[in-house]
Amino acid sequence: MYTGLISIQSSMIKEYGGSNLKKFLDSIEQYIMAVGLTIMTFITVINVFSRKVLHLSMSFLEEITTIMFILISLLGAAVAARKGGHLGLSVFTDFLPKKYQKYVALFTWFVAAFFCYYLVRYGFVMVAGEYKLGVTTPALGWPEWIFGLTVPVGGIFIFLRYTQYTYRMFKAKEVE
Amino acid sequence: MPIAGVLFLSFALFLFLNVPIALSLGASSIIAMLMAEVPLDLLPMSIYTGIGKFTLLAIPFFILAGNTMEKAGISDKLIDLANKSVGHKKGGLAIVCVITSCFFAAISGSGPATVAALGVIIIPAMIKSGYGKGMPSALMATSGGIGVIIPPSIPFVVYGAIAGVSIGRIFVAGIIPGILMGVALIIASMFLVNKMDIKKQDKASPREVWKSFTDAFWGLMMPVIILGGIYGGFFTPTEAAGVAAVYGILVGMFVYRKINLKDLFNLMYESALQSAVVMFIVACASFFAWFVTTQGISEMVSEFLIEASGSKYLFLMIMNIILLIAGCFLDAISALYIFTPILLPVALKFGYDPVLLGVVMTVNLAIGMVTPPVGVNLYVACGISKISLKEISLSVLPFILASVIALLLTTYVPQIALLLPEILGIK
Repeated sequence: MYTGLISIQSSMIKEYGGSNLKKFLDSIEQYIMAVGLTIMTFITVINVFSRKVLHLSMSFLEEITTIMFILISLLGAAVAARKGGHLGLSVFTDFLPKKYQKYVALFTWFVAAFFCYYLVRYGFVMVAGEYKLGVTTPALGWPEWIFGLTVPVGGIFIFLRYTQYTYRMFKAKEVE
Repeated sequence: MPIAGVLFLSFALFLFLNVPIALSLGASSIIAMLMAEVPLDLLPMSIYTGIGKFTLLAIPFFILAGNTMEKAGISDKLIDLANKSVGHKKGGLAIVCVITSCFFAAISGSGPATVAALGVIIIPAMIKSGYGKGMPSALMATSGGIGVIIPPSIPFVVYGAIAGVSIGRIFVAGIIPGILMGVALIIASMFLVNKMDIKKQDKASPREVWKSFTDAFWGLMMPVIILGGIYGGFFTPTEAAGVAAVYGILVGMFVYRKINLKDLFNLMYESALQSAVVMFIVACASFFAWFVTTQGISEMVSEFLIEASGSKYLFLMIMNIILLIAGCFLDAISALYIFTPILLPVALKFGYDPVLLGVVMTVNLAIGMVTPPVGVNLYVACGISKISLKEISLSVLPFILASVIALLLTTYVPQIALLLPEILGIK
């Protein structure tokens, strides 16, 4: 849906050079997302091939695709947070003078922190429950809690990236 | 009902304060749940299952397929083909703009992507030929909306997942309404072009047209593979999206030779990122929708709508007005999650086909992409032509009017959408 929008919005925020750790984290995110989508795509096509040509259903692979999908979606949401790439309604806040814009970002940070707090807290409750009950996935029989872990971990990433984005907004104004 | 009030007011407050739509939906639902003392244990599971639907997997694949074909240079080739075929007519470039949008829509499932891919070439060319400054951007932005009506379409996939209707059927149902909207836009442009002084182009020879056709051939095959594959029973819509993506990669790497391994990595990363932005909205919106449904809020609004409208025709009119207004402030995906649980029961009560409802909602939301203030297509078109949102907002009015006429026809003449799936026998 929003192709093109991310690049437009991200260009508004200047990227600042970071430490090696930050660069490492950025590239880890990039690798997981790119490799994740590649694997998802090829598993899906191989599945069609094996079913139609070899008459062999490998539908259990769908579980791997689905979990990767959740992983790259939450990780990507974090990356988009860092880049200011999430779609919002800026038409009213645009009327505010420039020096107040950072407080708009701060408000978003509060909302993000509020949302992520509950996502992470109850995410770990869910994971703990799955671990205790020893729930396994229906097709592959893998422990469900490993899959469930994507939610709280994704929540932590989203929170960290929003913090980073907001911090940069404040720093950018001071430079001016 | 105080809970509903808290929910919608906090959502509106967050939205107007520029909190991203996804976070606004998620956070306002949490606030309302705390108020209603509903346990929040289901929040992570709702996010997890909201994304983890096999059907929705089509979204990253279609985004990837569109990006790949774009990177392979298919937009130039489609524009070239359309230009050689109709470019010599008066107002030819306006027709080229609409026709290529229809074709590109059959490769990509996204409105802004269509505007971004085609606009960079078409908008400057139209300005240069004397179409004025605002009209080309406005036409391109509106034509881009066809991207979500002609299959493949991300909103159709999302609606199918929410309403539980066949994605194959709704895909086919979108074809004629999409073309109808294209025709409406061409007619509107012809009225505008009449007053303009436009440079005419030379007519291309049949041989040149044939050459352009063979150049664009691999791109034109994409919709054939997607739709043919689904209707031939070879694969599901999700698998079709995956096959289309791999087809795009193979064509880009080995036929057009525009994509190397490093490009492929970047394509994968960018597409994953774009789909993540959509999926984060899907996750939060499905949580919001789940809360609204379980609290009986949507049921309450549905019953109110049934009583207030009384008849199918009035209901459809009210629905269109609500959705057109909502489209000014919301993106298509969150609007689908918020309104489908409310509108679907009313539509069923009045005997309105759920597939048709999905098409009509999507056409509404396609128009929403060009209604300011939140008009994603407008932003992209403004970014390309460097004109202000105010300037384009005026130029886009005649095209919005034309689209609304196409919308009303689609709403009230069910055959426009439903005849094709009927003829093809698609359930």
